[in-house]
Amino acid sequence: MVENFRNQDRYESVGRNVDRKEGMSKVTGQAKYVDDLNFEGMIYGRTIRSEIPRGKIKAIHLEFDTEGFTIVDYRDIPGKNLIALIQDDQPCLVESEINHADEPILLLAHPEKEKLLEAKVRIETISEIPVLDPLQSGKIFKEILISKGDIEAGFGLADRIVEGEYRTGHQEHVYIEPNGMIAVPTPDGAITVYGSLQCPYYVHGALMVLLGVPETKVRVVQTETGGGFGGKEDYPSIIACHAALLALKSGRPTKIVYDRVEDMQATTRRHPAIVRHRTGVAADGTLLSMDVEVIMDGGAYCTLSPVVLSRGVIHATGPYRCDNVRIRGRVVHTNTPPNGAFRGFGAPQTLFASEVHLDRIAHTLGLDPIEIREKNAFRPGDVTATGQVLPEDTSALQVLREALKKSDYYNIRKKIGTQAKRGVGVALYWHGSGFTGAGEVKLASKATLELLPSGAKVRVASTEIGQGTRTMLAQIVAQTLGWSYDSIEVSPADTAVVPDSGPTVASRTCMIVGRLLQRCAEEMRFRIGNLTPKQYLEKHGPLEITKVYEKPPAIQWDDEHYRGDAYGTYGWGCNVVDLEWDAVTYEVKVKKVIAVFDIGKAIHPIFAAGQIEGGTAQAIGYALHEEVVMRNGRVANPQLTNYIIPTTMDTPPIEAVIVENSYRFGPFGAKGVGEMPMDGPAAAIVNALFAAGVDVREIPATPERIMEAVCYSR
Amino acid sequence: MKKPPKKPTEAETEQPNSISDPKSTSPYRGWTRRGFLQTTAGLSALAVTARTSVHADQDVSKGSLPTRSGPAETPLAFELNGVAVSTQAEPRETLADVLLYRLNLTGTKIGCDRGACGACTVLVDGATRVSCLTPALDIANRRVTTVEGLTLKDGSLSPLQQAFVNHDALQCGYCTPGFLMSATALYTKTPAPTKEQVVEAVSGNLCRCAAHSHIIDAILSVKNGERP
Amino acid sequence: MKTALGNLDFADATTLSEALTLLASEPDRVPLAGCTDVYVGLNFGHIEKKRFVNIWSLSELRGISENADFLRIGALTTYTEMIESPIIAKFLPMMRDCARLIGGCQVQNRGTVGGNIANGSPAGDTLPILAVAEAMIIAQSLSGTRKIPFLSFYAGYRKTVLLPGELIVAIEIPKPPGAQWFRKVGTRAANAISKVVIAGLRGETVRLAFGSVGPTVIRARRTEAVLSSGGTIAQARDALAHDIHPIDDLRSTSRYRMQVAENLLSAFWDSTTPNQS
Repeated sequence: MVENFRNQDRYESVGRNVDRKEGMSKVTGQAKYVDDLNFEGMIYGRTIRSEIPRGKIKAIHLEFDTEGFTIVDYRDIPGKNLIALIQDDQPCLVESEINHADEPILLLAHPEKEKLLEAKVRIETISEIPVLDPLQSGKIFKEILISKGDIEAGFGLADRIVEGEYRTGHQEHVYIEPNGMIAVPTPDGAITVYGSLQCPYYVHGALMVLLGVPETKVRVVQTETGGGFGGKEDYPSIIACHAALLALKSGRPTKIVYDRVEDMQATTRRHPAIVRHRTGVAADGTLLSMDVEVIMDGGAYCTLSPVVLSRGVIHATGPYRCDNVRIRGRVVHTNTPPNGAFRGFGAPQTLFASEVHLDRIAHTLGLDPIEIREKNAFRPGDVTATGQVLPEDTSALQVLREALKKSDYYNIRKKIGTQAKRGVGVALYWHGSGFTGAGEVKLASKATLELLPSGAKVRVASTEIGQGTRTMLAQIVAQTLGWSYDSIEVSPADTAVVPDSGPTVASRTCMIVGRLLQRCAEEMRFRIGNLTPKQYLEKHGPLEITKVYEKPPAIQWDDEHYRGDAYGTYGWGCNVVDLEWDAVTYEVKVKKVIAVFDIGKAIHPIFAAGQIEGGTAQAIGYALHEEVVMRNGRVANPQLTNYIIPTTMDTPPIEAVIVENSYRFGPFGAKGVGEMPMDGPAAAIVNALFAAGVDVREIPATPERIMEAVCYSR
Repeated sequence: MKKPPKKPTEAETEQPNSISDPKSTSPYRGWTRRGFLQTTAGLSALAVTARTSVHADQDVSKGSLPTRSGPAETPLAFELNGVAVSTQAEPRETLADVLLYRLNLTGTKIGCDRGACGACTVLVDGATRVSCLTPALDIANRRVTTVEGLTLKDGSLSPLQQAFVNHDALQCGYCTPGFLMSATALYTKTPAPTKEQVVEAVSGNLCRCAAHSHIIDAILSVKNGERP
Repeated sequence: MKTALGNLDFADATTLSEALTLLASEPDRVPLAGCTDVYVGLNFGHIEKKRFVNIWSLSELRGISENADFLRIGALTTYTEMIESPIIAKFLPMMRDCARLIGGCQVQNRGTVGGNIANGSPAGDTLPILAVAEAMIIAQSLSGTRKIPFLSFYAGYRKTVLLPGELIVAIEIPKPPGAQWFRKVGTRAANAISKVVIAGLRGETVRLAFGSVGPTVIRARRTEAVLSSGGTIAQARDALAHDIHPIDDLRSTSRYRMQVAENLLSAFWDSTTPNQS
């Protein structure tokens, strides 16, 4: 599959499978992750947390010899006691009111880890009744209404109205490297934080607010990061704040590395969602009216919930045209640990619902699942629910047809016939590349390219978290300059030397930051002319080019009414899943997944395939295995033996197929790829189960749920 | 399956000329080759005598008491990546603790600290183990190989490491050392594994980036080339 | 949060005599072998004991042998050794199938059959096999050796009848009469903890045991009686509901376990019924 894209004729660097920049250091064990770093005089930090989901602190009892310990509570915070993000509602350390289990209350540090673990702290609390059911929550973090046409008029025209409710659960990131941070104080009162993170400037911003210091007093350096998937987008700010407080109070470098159990209990997860569809359809399958309600559980604090909801609702119709649409979304408060960013960012939840619902509509009408998708899929020029006129690179039909071809869909279906317990399912979807709405304009990202005697150096805050940032950005620059890939260096993501190119999220790094660097490289190429870098530097002195994000001219967004161009462009994806389920154990065996994606341009085809396969496997876990068990607002299965992610034996063959319909404003036509593969497989799996006689509408579709559907709900 | 060698008594083991301060700045590589040879020779001789009958249900009479250690630090000597090391460990410390925090050999990764993710996989006497569940004192006088020990003497990559680079059999890299150790052990036992054998051999290693197909392809690619 | 392990006291036995001598005077010491259960329990804070005796080096407790009637498996025999053993493959293939499904290779190289028995988890994968094979546990102390029928080895949830100072040294397994059938239903295809385990023997009589469906491994006596006396599979399924009473826990539900146990019973019966096409 990758061979198809090893087209070495057109580009020297872009489109070629060059060696990963940090590949050597990762296979030799030399790559330095946060726990691998040590500083002179370093001590270790530990977080004391609430055990109840809601209540008040009555007293804190330190039941250990405090000699040699550094102890920090909210009173030690020099600036504001909050984790700065979207709303100022989340304290860094609880003052009195506990809003979720495992909420940080007190920090301890000691030079010896064992002593630190032995220290007993008893938090005396007064419990209050927690809100654990999002449907019972009275507090809304964000509400969004998207409206187009007149849904009642649409229902009036419909031959049938099909309703359904679909639910998705929490999902845990399970980056294999747990979260960790080291804060190093300097004599002048400044602080440097090293850690496992996706967004250096989020951490930087949070530290400035917490410490009440100017930006020059805070420096954030990303260490090699063992996976993120969104889980290291917002939460690292909290750990950095904690480490910094301990470091400032003790005057010593302080390392906090979470244990797996703590990481799985305390840090963020994917938002659970309830999505209700009411759809008016003509007998031939034409979608006439779509009424969608999305309810997400935000957890105890706002964190990134408004933007997760935003992406969720914008994608909630699926990639289908319909004249009359109403989407109502809300994300609400519960007394559970805050949910946060996770690959797909709201879209996997709503696209699961829309794609599963569409198969139910097809079934109701006696139509083929493909037929109803062919009929309604977006074409270039169609208008979305927010009123965006879709561009030329709208390739819903193309990816659908490619997936049918690659999977030999019709022949497999014919072969299966009425054979019970085996089914083929399809999901068709879209994913907006980059930040939603005016997000990119607000971010105003910057990227810098510096000329070196040997080539050039990329300076951006975009982080390498496994997805290939360093390599891919170097390829774009090398190609634009017409130089070799090896001549391009990539600076560590260190806020002391890199400008804020925005967070490493939202499938934006290649499309947005890559484009910024392409513009830097274009100018550098022009300025250097026929000189070599060395000649240029000797003649003209240092050369550094910085570019700031410029919105493509036609893009308009009205954030108040949710109207306009929600994204610069979209990636398009289609899965065909072939599976069977076991009538004895109700276990599902996925036999094969076809994953076709229009990503504009595969800068590095093997990386792109890796993103597709990785996201697909995570989505298979989401669909079938991964269940966060909550008991009284607390994660009850924070272990890798009881929270189940796929192993090599659980991962089916995944055939990644890349379609390249260029985006005019992406580097070499590239759009985003990282998140989209997470969006569809769950729906394709549940649709395949439906075709195989199992009607489940909630994921994970564990053997237990399948058994209930098969044995009890007939 | 090779039986682990019985532990030699003090008299049997010539302590290599090694550095005993665990936090010493001297690199672990600095230990002498002479010391290493002495230790390995001692070990292989003992491995032969260790094969005793498993049948006898003989009555066991009261004998001597085992060596006790702890709670304080106890000297610990073992062979690490072909070099004799001696350090200290408390009974509660695991092999992973000793590698990472005493010897500062950080290629081995801790992912779950409960034996469930495989990131800390190392070889002890050639067989894979989760180092997070291996008491440090249990490796006295055994042979330990970590990812750092895979790199060839001239600094070049082992065929498996090279295959991982070539196939981009990694993304974030955190699980990579564990996968490499599992794959190395597979080749020691099964020189020409099938795909199914490869899939099974690394099924105890979790990779959340899910580079599974790349990893399997990489491991299989060395099948007909050089052995790791 | 990882639990502080505190000051562990770690004795390192190099011979059985040393180990038993120590256990005689300090019977509260927990024997350690592969540590795949003990260290997990320590890290989670489930194990509060601080005193251990490491028996991993006792080569006299390793190995698999046979005579005309019995297999003998040393207590420290690892899953890997069982997977690779021609004796196991020939006489107890269900044990090989079972061992392959326990953890990854890293754990199979360390986990021992004796440890699986001593740990006594109701989810212990080898236990249903030992139950249907009617194994004998060979327990030894300074005062001698005794054979304990596996079926009376557990006194309750994670409680064994081992006496202070006794160590499991081996398991004796009568060569099983009849067709063997084993299936583990875990949380995923590899490296999984079981939700339901079944081991079955079908010869002149029928023996069935289930794991993860009660506080200990359970021999399904009523079900066996139905099948051994020529009852139908439907009657046997009804009887099974009286033999096992699974619960809800983090990994599964009572209803699922019951349903799947019944299905497994049928599958066992179908696949061991001769002359099926």
